[in-house]
Amino acid sequence: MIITSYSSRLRGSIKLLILIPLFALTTSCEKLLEVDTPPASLLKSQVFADDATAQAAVRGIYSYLMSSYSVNGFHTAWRAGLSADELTYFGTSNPDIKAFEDYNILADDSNISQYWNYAYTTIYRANNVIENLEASSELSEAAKAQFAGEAKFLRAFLYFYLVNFHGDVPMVTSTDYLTNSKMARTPSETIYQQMITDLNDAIELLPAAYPTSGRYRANKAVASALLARVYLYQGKWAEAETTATAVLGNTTDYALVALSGITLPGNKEAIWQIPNFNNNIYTNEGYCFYGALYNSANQIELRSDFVGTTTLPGVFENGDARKAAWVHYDRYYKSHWVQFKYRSYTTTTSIPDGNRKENSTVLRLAEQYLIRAEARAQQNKLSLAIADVDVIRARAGLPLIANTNPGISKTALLDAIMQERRVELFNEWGHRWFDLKRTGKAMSVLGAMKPGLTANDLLYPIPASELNRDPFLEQNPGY
Amino acid sequence: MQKISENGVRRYCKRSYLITTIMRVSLIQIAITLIFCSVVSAHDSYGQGMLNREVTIKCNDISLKEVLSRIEQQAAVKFAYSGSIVNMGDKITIDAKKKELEKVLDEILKPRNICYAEDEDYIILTQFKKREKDRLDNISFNIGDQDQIERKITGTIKDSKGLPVPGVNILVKGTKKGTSTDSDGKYTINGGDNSILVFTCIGYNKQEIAVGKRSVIDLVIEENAAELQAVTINAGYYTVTDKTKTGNIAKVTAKEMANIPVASPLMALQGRVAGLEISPASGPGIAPTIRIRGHNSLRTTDLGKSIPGSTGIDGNLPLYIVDGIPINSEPLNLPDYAMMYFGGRLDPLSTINLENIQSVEVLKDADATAIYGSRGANGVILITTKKGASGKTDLDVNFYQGAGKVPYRLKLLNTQQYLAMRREAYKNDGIDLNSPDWNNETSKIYDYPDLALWDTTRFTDWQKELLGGMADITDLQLNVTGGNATTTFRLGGSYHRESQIYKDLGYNRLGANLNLNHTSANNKFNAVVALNYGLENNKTGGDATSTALYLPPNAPAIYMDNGEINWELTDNGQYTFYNPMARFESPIVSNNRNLTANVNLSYLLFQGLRIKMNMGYTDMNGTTIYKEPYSTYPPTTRQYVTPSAEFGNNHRQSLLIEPQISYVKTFGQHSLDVVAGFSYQGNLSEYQLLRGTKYTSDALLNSIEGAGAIAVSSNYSNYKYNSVFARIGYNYKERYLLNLTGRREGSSRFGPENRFGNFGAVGAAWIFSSEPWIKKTLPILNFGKFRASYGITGNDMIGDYKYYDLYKMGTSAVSYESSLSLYPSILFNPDFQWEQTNKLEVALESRFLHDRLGMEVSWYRNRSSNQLVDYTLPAFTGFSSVLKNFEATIENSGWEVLFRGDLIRSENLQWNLSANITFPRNKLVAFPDIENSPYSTLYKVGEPLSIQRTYTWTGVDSQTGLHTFLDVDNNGVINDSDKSFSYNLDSKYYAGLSSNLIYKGFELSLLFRFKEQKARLKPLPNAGNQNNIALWAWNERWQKPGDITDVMRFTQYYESTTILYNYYSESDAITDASFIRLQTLSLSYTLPQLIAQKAGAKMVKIFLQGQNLFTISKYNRYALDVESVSSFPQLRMITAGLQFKF
Repeated sequence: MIITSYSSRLRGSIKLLILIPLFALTTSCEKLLEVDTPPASLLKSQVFADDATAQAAVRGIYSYLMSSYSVNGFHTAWRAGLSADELTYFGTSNPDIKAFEDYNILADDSNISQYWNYAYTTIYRANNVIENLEASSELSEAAKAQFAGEAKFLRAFLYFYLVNFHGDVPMVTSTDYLTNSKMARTPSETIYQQMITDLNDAIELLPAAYPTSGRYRANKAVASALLARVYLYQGKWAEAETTATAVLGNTTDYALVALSGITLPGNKEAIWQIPNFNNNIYTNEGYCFYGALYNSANQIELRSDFVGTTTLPGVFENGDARKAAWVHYDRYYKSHWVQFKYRSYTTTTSIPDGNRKENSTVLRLAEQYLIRAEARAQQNKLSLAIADVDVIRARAGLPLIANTNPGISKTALLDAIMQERRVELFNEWGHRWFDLKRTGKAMSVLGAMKPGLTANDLLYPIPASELNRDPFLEQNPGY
Repeated sequence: MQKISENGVRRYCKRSYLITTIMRVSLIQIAITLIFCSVVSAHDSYGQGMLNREVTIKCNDISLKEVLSRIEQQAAVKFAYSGSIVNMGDKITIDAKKKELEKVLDEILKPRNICYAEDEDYIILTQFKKREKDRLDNISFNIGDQDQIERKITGTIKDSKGLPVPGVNILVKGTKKGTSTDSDGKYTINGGDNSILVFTCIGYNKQEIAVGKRSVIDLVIEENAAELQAVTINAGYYTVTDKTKTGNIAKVTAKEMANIPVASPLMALQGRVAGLEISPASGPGIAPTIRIRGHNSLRTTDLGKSIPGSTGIDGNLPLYIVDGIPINSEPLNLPDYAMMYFGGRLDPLSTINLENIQSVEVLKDADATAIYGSRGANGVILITTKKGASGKTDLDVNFYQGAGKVPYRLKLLNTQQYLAMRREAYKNDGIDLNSPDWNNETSKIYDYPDLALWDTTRFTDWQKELLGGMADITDLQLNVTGGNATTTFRLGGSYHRESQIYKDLGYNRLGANLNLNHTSANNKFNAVVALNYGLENNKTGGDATSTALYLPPNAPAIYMDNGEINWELTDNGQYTFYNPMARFESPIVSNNRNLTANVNLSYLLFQGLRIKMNMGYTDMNGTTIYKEPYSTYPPTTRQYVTPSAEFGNNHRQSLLIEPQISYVKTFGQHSLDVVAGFSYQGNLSEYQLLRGTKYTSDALLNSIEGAGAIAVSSNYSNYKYNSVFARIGYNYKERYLLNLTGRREGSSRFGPENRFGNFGAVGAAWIFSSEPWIKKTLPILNFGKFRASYGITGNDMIGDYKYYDLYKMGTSAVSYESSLSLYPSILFNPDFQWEQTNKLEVALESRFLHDRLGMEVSWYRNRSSNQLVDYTLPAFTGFSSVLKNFEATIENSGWEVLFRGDLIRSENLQWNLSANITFPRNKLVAFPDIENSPYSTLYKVGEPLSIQRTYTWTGVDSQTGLHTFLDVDNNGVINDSDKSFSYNLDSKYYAGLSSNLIYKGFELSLLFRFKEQKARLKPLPNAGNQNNIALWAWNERWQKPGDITDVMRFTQYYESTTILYNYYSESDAITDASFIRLQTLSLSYTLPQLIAQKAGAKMVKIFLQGQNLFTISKYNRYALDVESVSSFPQLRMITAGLQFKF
């Protein structure tokens, strides 16, 4: 009796034992695992389903150029300026920066990797927009064309700086990280070809007008201005001339302005400007070249770590209005000068022009004149070339070559154009360093000043961390 | 032995093994049952070979009871018998010399028709025929099965001093019927003749008593749970006893943590649990770093190295469970600067009041943690809060107050020595301060105001001035407990305040808690509601420790006569002193609110089968404000800045639903305990940071509205998981134990293809001391268990949405053209899977001499593989990393040894000692192709994760006076390629030793902690700059060529500073930072009850506590503390308090 009641109980238990694992095996409901995405995020599919959000993704490419540590006017100009004969490092706290001046850059230097990383992240965003625009069927054709044009322009812009600083670099044109991560360096010639393709595409895709108010977004002229420079660097003189002419020909929208006005927002000389982070009135260049808040343990003082070389004031001809307008001397810097193209730093009136709003100017019309002058001179169109240089000289209040030396030789004219570039474009976006390199004068000009220079120093290293991560990459010689 | 108390009630001891018996409807059976029902066990004793012991006894005409009592004393055995046996009244005469007990018993008992049987720990006497007993061994009986008429059973429970014991839990065995004693030690419960009442109370031995025909059962229970085996241990979804547990679960009880003056409940665990390492935070409210058995994940935040592509997510956090509800262990966000000044992130557990905690269980091995599946890899910390007690309503008041100070001071230079050091530095650098380059106003202001502008006769002991303050601590707890047989409650409020040593700053907390427990009249339904609410306010100005150490001794006063911050302005308004305390004028304020609610319903469907529903809800809200007003800047710089403020808003919410079913069954000598359930949890976590800039006035900083520009950033995560889990516990004869746990779990952190993972463990134990042959051969051993476990647990601490292709919004203020921008936030990888930790453990538990000595040795080996790492990619792919499973394996192995001794166990004096020591070993076992990975400079296969890659220091050059390093590649430059893996920061062992001494009403407890560790030399400031230095460095400095010393020459050059920096942070210049610390010393006195009653109280206790009273370490030479993560030292704290019960 007991046994039977017991065994029935046991059978119950066994049933239960079978039930438990069954229960356990029941797959948990997949639905219970569905989570909403963060409100401040969108899924890729949502982004490219609507013109407005796709446009925001395009702004996402540009926005990196605006941030403090990116491929911006300051970060491009200080390193190129130190490596060329424009700037000297006035700070004491950072030997890594001094290394750009003395050509002691280490491959693991964070300045090198930072610039590189920002450039490529921006390129990734551009690639990503290009790919997704192609895939999207929901966007308007006009928007698609414009966005693709902008992305291609930006991609070319960043490769231009990468190639000019580092030489051959991996040319990434897709977002497939698995394939990309094993890339070797692409010959810079190939990258230049890609830039030309991208920029020509952009010229075709982009509207003539700026898509928004201000001169912050690429249009046909912006892409053309960069393309003219690319042709110039490639020695494609005829193409450079034609392309620059396309920009210079639009006299309704573009014209030279007063020297003090080249950084003002939307000024007619500006072809492309970058707005300021946090909608500040001052630019990175103004903040860092005119005077950053210098802060050490016991002192806070407005000063810049990047000042002009003592020899630079001498390169201005007597009477050059640019020297007065764009160079500033301060008691603190003694025999040095600081760049004063960007003169707005804070709102205080104790600093000259502290209250005016400025934008970082990336492409401006003066460069187009000088590009065309050089391209024309190279094609022996000397008088046309002189005319272009003289436009620039006239604004600077200097005597015109057409008057002083109308019979100038081609070589002398090219030298004069180079000198004009030096004083017109000083401390802007690395022009001087790149000019010396592309014209083959870097070794002779800089070597005379800085005996430590070797041919290897003309290219910055590939970041050491990249070599660690991709065995197919090779370092530049000398690093 | 058994005693009869004054009121004639038998005093029972715990551990009556379930005497399985059988019921038959016959008179004999009823008789037998009666006998058995009043059978109780004796104390644990030498079980084995009892009958073979020799006895010498001579007595004349005395009662059987007395004879048995004498035998008990002599042979160290215990008898268990019913009253009817010894009360038969006839007298015994016996004369035995060195006779075997068996023979003596035969002689005494046979004529009285009493049988005896040797059970595990006692000898049972029964009055029936042998054949009946044989039957009993073969057929089992479950008491609860019988239909029985229930009646009210009442009683009073007292301790050995005769004082009533409140809060004793009484349970009808095999059911969930229960109650607990009121403040007078009285209880009422319903039970039948066959019921067995189980009496449990923390700090007392568990006892089981058969009801029989009685309706009044009074009891004297024994204090001091020397009977460790019976201690109930919370294993999360089920409970086990210390005896029958198959896994490694360490329990810390409320008593051990009582009145420790810390805000974070986890800090009270320091030194008490083997395998648990707790690095203190910089202050109350800030999360300490908790590691259970080392680092299992490469995603670490505390090894002093920056992990490439690291997302800052710590993959080594344990799982916290409070009353069954998981609490997100990730510390809460703060604005960046606020984090810097607080010295860490917010502790998610800080509003859990230590005094409300009944016990903390730390789950370590696979057997214990696998039921938590995906989150058990780093161990589990279970917190159980206190419950109410039935009976008269009691008011408990607990109050303490105290003060703390920075315990150590370094010997630094006085003004004369300091100024001499500065002049020597300039001289060493070849600088003539009288030369025109230096002798000018600018140089004086910027370079050497200490020599040129400040009072060179002034001396301030900045350590005294800035760190000499007294912090005060106050803690008040009020709790009301009460209820009746079916419903009990505990309602309380608490206040805790810890000020900083700086003025007006500190931590305040208000808390409220409610615990309601209801059982239906038929005892089938039970409901528990637990609520906890905490309000926190935390204010800091930062940490002035380094300021106090480095500030020149002749630096100007911090405050001017009018009480304002002093900037030591020159005549033309230029400041010469960048006042380091200006920051403290605008404290960072963090306010947090935290609600935890838990509802637990259960219903007994039929005998042994219970369904249960556990539901939890947590809601945490907080705001931290960091302000940067004009007043924190020197006056002359204010034209260049505008005030700014950051507002960090946290919100976390979680919901838990866990239906469960449990089944308990004993058949014969087999018993089975099964739990199965389903779990769903949704976690929402939001953080919003508002950064306001361009304020025009300090007065506007309290609100974001006043800002000239606003930037917003936010984190949001929604994390869900659901799972099914089961546990099957089986034992045979309570000697062979098997525990199977499993969990199938899905987590929203993984892509749809990889959501679900299976985790499980098997644990087994063998109580070999129950084996007869062991009893025979090892009589000294009264408990011995061998246990082993193996299993797999998971880790999904990787952050959310990693498998989504998400675009993040850039807020308009910082976006291009001030309009919305969108950008891809990560490289998405839809394919990653669970990180997995395989845990293996074997352990030996043993206890000797009546449980007086206990020892437990465990060996463990945890291997974490399939590591989820932000795998580094070349940056030209667009991102520097992608989350991916990686074939790296980390091993944590080690030994944990626990020792416990009840050294003195007399009525008036008790002394026990317990110690734990852990020998951990962390090793990167495998990392395929590490040489070509970015991890090659961070980790090394075969070495711990904390391995450091540094320069090799080769001493101070006796000619130049500069530190030198080994130039490994001989290229003349010291650069990265000269670094090598030289040492690791792992501790070889750490230990805790606690002692508890009770003499009458006095109790003295102390806890020592030991830790072997190495640490980098805490950097001296650059000796020669405007920083004070340690006196020993002054004495030992390099002065002239030829000096042999380790202290570099004084210099104020930057280049030399780099060398010094390399020495301190990039070289193998490390030192032994091992320490011994008296962590806690407490003395308490419980007033005799008569005196307490005069004061109108049931209980009055006064106590004195000291924390961090002294530390012995060689490291004191370099830093104020050997342990702080940040530089702020742990305070020496002394508190005194009172506890009343009304």
